[in-house]
Amino acid sequence: MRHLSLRILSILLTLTIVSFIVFILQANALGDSASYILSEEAGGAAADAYRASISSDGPVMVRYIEFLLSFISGKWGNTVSGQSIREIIGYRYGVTISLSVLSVLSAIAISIPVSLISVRTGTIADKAASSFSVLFLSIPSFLTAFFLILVFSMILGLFPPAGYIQPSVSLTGWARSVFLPSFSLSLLHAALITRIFRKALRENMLKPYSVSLAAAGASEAQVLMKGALKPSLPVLYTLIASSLASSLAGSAVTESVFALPGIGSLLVTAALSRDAVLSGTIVMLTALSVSVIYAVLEVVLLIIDPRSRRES
Amino acid sequence: MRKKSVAGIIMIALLIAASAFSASPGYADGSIRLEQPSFDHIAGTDTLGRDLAGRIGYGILVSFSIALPVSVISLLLGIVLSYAFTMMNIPGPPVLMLSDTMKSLPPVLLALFLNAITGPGILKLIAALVIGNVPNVARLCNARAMILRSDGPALAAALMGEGRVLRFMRHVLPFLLPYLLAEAITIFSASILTEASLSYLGCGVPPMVPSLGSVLAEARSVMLSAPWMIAAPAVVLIYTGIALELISSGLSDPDTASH
Repeated sequence: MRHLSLRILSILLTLTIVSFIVFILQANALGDSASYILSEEAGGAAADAYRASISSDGPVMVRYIEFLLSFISGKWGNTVSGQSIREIIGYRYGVTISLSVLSVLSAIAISIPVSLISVRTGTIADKAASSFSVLFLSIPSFLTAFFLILVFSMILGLFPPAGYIQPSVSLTGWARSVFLPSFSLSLLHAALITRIFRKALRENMLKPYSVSLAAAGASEAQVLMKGALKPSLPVLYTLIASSLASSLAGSAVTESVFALPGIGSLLVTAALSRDAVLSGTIVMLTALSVSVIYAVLEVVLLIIDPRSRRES
Repeated sequence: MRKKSVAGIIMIALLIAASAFSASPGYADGSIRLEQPSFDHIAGTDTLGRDLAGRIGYGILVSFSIALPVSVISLLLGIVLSYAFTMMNIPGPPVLMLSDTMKSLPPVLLALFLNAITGPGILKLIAALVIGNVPNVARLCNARAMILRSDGPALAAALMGEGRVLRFMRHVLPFLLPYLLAEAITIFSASILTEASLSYLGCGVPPMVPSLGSVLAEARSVMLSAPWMIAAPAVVLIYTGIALELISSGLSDPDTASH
């Protein structure tokens, strides 16, 4: 299908552009890393030998192709402290994925009922839901995390304030250790989903198909569920995909607050220790997973929404 | 509805005035560490005995001076893109395809990566935030341009031989601006949050510059004994959020605009 081939083309384009950006920036940083890794005073022959060893000379395009090939074949190199990047990421990726999926699932569980209940403007439910959205969209996610830690672990003592327990060690321990992080992320997603999904519902309640339902005697609830809900679903799916993408890429803050060993906190460590290779690999992997998420979204939209098939 | 915008703008102006009045990086004073809010220090003091109100005021100014250029650049970019879409017949889909590639590099990710390459810096932060917003701005402009391009008055003016710039100013820009402004305000508040998050991680503004994020990072370890260190920045952020919400909701909700 034309849509699909376009989509695959755009994933390839994305990855080419992102990898080129990463490569160019990395190449510039690697020039500095000679002094970082060897010594401040290292220069001349020693620095040249080091640069040759990480192949930071030669024509740009050749090095770019080499860089791409080694990324594709899984040779991601070592961190500044000498560990294998592939091993660390393999261990940590699961943590980030489970955190993202849990937070998006609970965001859906919160935001759909809230949006449906508060769809009518001017009611108490509407005002409460709007305040909820404004509140959680105007404070940074780590501040939400602070409040949750303060209430649920410091005062009530229900959940650990930080740290991670492997599910293989203790399943309940794992659930307790990921509850607060995923809840604090989900409040942010839920605030965004509620705001935009509710707006879509309201717009669809004014469309001709809903108005004619109402004219035929359907109650407001029936108009909402039968008329407005279905055409608003593409918006909902798009929001779910973008929440998932943003938590895969942006849970760095939450993971750091709760000391979870995920990709995000790894990227923070990489940023603070000036690890260009490690952070570049994380950026490429994240770009890959984010584009896959959006590609899946596109396919889902094509399947559920005939309108998206019609155009072009 | 305009009243709401005015109220929001007054709230922001008051906040900026109060911040400018109180802003100071503060001096460490071991004898008054972690003091509760009092008349001398209305927001209390931090772990080094520095006045929190001064540091938060300074942090607000830093935050705003990052968020403002980001939203202004995004707004200008939106105007240029819309001009290209409506007046120069640049097709939307290829531009969107290019700009969507940036969707896979969210601001936090990009900023952390730039940090790993060259260390923290305010200009790099602004660049990361602008790049992260390109896809949304491009999508918005393309959607509006499709509607406005074939609009009666714009078409009539084109047939009458009116120049591109004049046509754009008279028949496109006025109908585009409410949407772009609403987007710019969303970008503004998102930028404040991203800056705070990155500074919390130590990867935002350089460490010696006081910011909301770094104040909160210090508060993390003393949140039980000194809750005001969390409360004061939180109150300021929520106040800012409400003010920005008022401004954008007063911009006559674009979807019911008279156009």
